Amino acid sequence: MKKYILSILLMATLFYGCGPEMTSPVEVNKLRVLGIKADKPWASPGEEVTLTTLITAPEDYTGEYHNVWLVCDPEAVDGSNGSFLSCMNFEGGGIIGQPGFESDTHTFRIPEDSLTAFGQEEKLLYVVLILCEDTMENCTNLAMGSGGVDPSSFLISFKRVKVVQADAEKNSNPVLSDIYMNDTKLESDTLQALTEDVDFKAAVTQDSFEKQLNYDDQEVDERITFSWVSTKGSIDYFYTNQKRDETLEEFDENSFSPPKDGGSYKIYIIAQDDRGGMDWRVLTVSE
Amino acid sequence: MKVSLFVLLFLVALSIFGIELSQEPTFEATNIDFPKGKESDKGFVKAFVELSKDGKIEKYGFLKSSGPDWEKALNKGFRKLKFSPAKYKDHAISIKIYFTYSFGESQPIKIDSLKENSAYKKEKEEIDKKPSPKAEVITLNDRETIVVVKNGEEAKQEATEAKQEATEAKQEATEVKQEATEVKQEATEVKQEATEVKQEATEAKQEATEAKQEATEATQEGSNGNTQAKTESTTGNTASTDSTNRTQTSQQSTLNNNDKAVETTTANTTEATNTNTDETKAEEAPTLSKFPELKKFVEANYPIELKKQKVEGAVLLFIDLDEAGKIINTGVIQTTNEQFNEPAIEAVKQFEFTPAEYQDKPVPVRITYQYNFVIKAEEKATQEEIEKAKKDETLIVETAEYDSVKGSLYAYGSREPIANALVYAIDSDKNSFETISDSDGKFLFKNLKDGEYTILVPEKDNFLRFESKEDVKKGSLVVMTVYIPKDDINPYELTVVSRKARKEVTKQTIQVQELLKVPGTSGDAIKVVQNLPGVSRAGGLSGQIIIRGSSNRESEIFIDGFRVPLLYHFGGLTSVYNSELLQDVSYFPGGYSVKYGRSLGGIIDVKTKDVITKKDNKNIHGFVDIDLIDTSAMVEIPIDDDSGVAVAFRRSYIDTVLPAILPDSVSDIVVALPVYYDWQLQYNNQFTKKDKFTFALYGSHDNFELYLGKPTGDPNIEGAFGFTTYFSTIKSSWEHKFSKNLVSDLSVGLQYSSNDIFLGSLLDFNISAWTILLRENLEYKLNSNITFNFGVDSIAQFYKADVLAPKFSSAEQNSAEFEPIGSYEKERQIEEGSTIYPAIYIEAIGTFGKFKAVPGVRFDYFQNSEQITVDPRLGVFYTLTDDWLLKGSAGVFHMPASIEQTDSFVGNPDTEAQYSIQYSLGAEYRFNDDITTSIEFFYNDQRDLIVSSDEKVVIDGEVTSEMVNNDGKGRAYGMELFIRHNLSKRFFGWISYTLMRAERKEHPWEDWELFRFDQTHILTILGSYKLPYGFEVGARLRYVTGSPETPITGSVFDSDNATYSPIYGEALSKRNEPFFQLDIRIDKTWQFKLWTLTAYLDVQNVTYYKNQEGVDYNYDYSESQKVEGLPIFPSFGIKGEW
Repeated sequence: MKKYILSILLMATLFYGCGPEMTSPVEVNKLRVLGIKADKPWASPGEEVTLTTLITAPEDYTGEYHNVWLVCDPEAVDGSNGSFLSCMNFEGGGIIGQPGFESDTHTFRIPEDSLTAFGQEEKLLYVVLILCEDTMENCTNLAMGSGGVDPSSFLISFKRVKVVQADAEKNSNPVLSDIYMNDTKLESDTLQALTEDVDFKAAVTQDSFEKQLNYDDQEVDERITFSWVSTKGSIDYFYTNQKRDETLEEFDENSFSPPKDGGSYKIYIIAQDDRGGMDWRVLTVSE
Repeated sequence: MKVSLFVLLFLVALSIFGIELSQEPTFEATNIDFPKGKESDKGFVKAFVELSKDGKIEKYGFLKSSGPDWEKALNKGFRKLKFSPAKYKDHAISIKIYFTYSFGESQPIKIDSLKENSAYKKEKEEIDKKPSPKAEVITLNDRETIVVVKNGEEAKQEATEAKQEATEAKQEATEVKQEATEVKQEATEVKQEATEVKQEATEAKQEATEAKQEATEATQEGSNGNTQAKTESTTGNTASTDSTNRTQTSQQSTLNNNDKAVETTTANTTEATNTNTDETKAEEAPTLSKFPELKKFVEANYPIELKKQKVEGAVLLFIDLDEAGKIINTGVIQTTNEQFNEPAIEAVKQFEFTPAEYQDKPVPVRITYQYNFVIKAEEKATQEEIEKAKKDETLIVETAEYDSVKGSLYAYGSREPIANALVYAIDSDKNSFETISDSDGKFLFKNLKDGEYTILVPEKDNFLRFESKEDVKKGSLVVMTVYIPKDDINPYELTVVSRKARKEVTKQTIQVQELLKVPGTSGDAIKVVQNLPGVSRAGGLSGQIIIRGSSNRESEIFIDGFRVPLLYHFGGLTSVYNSELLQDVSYFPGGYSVKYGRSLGGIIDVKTKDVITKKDNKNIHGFVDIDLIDTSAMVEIPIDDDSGVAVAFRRSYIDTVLPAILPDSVSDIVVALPVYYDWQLQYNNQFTKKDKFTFALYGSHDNFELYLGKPTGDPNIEGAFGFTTYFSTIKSSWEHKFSKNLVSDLSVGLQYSSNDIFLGSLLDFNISAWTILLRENLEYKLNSNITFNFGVDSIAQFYKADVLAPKFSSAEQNSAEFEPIGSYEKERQIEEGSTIYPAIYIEAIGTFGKFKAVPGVRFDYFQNSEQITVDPRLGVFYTLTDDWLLKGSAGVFHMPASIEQTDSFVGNPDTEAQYSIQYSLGAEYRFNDDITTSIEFFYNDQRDLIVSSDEKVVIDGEVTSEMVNNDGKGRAYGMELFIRHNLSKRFFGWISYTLMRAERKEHPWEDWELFRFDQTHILTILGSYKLPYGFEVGARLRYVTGSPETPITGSVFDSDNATYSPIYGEALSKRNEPFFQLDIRIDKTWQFKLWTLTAYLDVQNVTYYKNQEGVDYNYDYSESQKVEGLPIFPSFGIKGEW
């Protein structure tokens, strides 16, 4: 295994950039799900969880799409291999609550008996958002005809919701509090047209750095990462990071080059911790 | 062939030769060797020799012969001939002798004729002027007689002096007599006193008695004193007599009948009174009827220091001969220099004489002999004599009397002596003289006349012709040191692997000479294996060895029978062992001997060479090789005739070179690049004929660190990534030959290996191990048909593993399905342990006419799985004709589970060993000595393969993942064709083609699927050719079916990590594009006097074919492009060798 990893990494290192550039994740050139946020990344049996999705498309997108929300408990699926995809075979069970349709949000309640197995202190539920980029009729036919959801035909995104005991410490979402442009804090998420390259920085609140135990049972901070995506223009890095107690000068900088043809567009910044927490902000650059 | 010692006497009366001699010369020949290669032939040489009166060779020459080789042989041994001179009137005299020497005859020498030479005539005149010598006979007693022999006038003078001395001696004798009388008187007085005492009383009686006693004693004393006086008188006469006697010649003394000798007497007092009588008798001494003749003369060793100082001298000796003429005593009478004494005595003691006779009866005699030490210049045959000989249709070979031209021949560049080379010296008259260089390359011409010579060494064994003009003068030695270039610098050595010696059905052995020049391998010997049949192409730079469809973990690599943990630096850049220290690389794709085990696939055994010794007649050798990636150096030193040592080292510098050629996008990522180095030390000592000891120390160190300057596709993979792989082995071997039928080969080794891998905060993996290796093979030849091998092959390993890794099942590990690695909880595990894998084996090799069988069985114990396994194996050969060979094999091959596979944390403690049953059937055909071909069909049935498992099991009451189990099965089958042109003078090459299928299934109920290393067609065509002027060119063409890949059909978005996870299609249902590559290599070598320089250019993929090494996807797997392999990749290097 290790040799396999090494070989791939070495080859990737040496051959990276050897071929034509493929679409970068910072570009939005098609319908995409950028994130799914749960108001409670960790919840207890009986609690309600509300999910919100961030969907984007190119500025000139005129297509039609339809979405379906499913909450999956893989352990409840007959013959499950532990993957949430087993819920996609509707005949296998494992779906919690009712599916949600055509909405950017979905709410479900965590079943009371989620942690009833002997000694079970936690489990993962998977919230699956299925996007079908076609007419409703075609999407329905596609789903019915294949006897399930074929990942190659749909855009599938998922998010984990961790079910823990009521008295367990729970993870909460980070708060993306500040966006800086050229070291100046943005007071609004609406920006005037940009005519030259700018440097962005993002920061979450200090409270967002919740403590967790590592493999040595030591308390360490959550790791916060930011994803950057824009519908136009180009951004240097897809990921940046932030550590606790960093100052403005120490924040990761991400350069943005505005599109030459101008127009309006959006810049998305999604903050995540490493335990399912998420927040985002959307900057709208007007024409 | 030695000629037995003999003495040749002239039997024919001197009168027949028409020359006046009183005694013929004699000579003996010893140990004249036959010409090389003609030991059983017969030949003759007619020659002449001129002897001085001392019996020394003044000159000699050859007249006729049955061939030049015979003349050379006789010339070489001529100095061993020993001569005693001829005599004229009993005086030694110079002579010229014509004789025939017949090799192979019981009495090789036959005198043809004797001739007078100028020296003879001159000496004859002198002899004629001298008076005849005389001999005196002195009677010691009734039994003993001493003959004093001296010559001529001087003897007469000496006799007079002796007489005077004798008179003095007589006077002394009288005085002694008077003393004796006085003693007698004293005795009488004592007696009277004794009588007076007696007349007195009783006490007086005692006193008288005592006095009487005293008187008696006095009387006795008186008598003794008288006797002693007489004796002294006698001795004095003897000494005086002897001291006056000397001879003037260095040979036999002549006899002088006219001289008088002083008598000698015995110790008898009575006879002392007869002194005068004896004197009188001396005056009338009788003459010997026959004088002792020297029949064997031995030349004394001239003291070196005196010879250097040109000091001449003489030693006068006495020699006592018994009735048989045997020397019973000898001693020095007088000498001019004491350093001559011992050599003279040593020589004289070996003389042989005929007995002297008095009145026709043999009598003992004492003679005096003067041994002269004279430094005399020898003369060569004069030009007149040569001309005269020519007229007589004779051939005269110049005698080696002084050195004219001396030289040494060496090979240009390597400086190795050139032995057995013909060297000619041709004068202006086109006369040609030849000699042969010895084992040290040295040659010598002697006795060339003055003039200009062409020294010529003809072309031989690829050495070019050499010619040089030299002026030769007598007394001035020409010294030459010649370095002769070769037509080709490194002549190929033809290697023949005897079919009879082979026991593996499938084995390819490639000699290092071939290995170093295979295109596309940058001179790396071990990488050449990848061009052999049955070896699949490993992708990219993985450097994996994939044999007959098995994975790289299922084949083993050995160096001298000891497993190495790592074969290539960084997965394929270059091997870890310097190719110049290798003898050959043996490749067994299957059906191998029971000596090897713990493997499912094939075996590669790299054999190191013996370091040169002085017996190999080679000097210190070494090289420095510099190319774009690394530099290596080696020194090989012969210590003495039995031992030598070699040291080699290599270090890379691609960390400084690579950033210059990488694209900017990559260089932003990589901060520190690979660094590797390796080292080797070898020592061998044949300390007895039966014992050989070898010692080796070698190791390798690879370090790679990568600092991610910008994020990767997984935010959990950040920071730094790197690994360090290190191993070091120390090994010693002892080969002992108990007898020609029983040989033991014992090897013991200690190895330390360490593997460190880290991947950001995600993975930190450290495993180190100490391994003790033991091999013993006892080879016993029962008879010419059957040989047994008994052996032990054991490994003991002590390991420590410290692993920090995400805890997930092995199934998840391999599929990485939907869960990025970073999302899993990490766990640290530290484990220490040991494991032992002992094994014993027995094998028989039986040859019965055309049929040969190699049955064997191996017993292994695998400690980690607590298993004892049995591997029976059989290989058979049948020689249809000299050119056709049929072969087949079948056998069981077990391989233990690895430590991690039986580990409780990352593996399954219940995992057992895997095994395969291998079959093969094939044939070999030899077109000629250079070209052979082999075709072989194989089938490998693999069982109990260890595969990943996501089954849940309960261990210690806990439900956990099984991780791995033995449910897997595999099969590989196909055909291999190998057409090989062996290493010849200018060319080597081969065509290798494999048609193969390799399949696996992870559970018995599943269908067969292609194995990820399956490659249907593997074709390699390569060759290398030596051109003139030191050029060598080679090319390699490869075509390989693309490897199977599992397609990605889609992806899902993981919102928690902002990443996409691939969705895979049917496993290994798609193939990459076929692989095609053409490599070329050009070498150019320049020879200098003491070293050679080679520059090489090795260009891989000269056609710039864009081979697919894999598939690259974008962030959401919606787009893909092929990952291209190396573009045209030139590798340039220079190598200096001495």
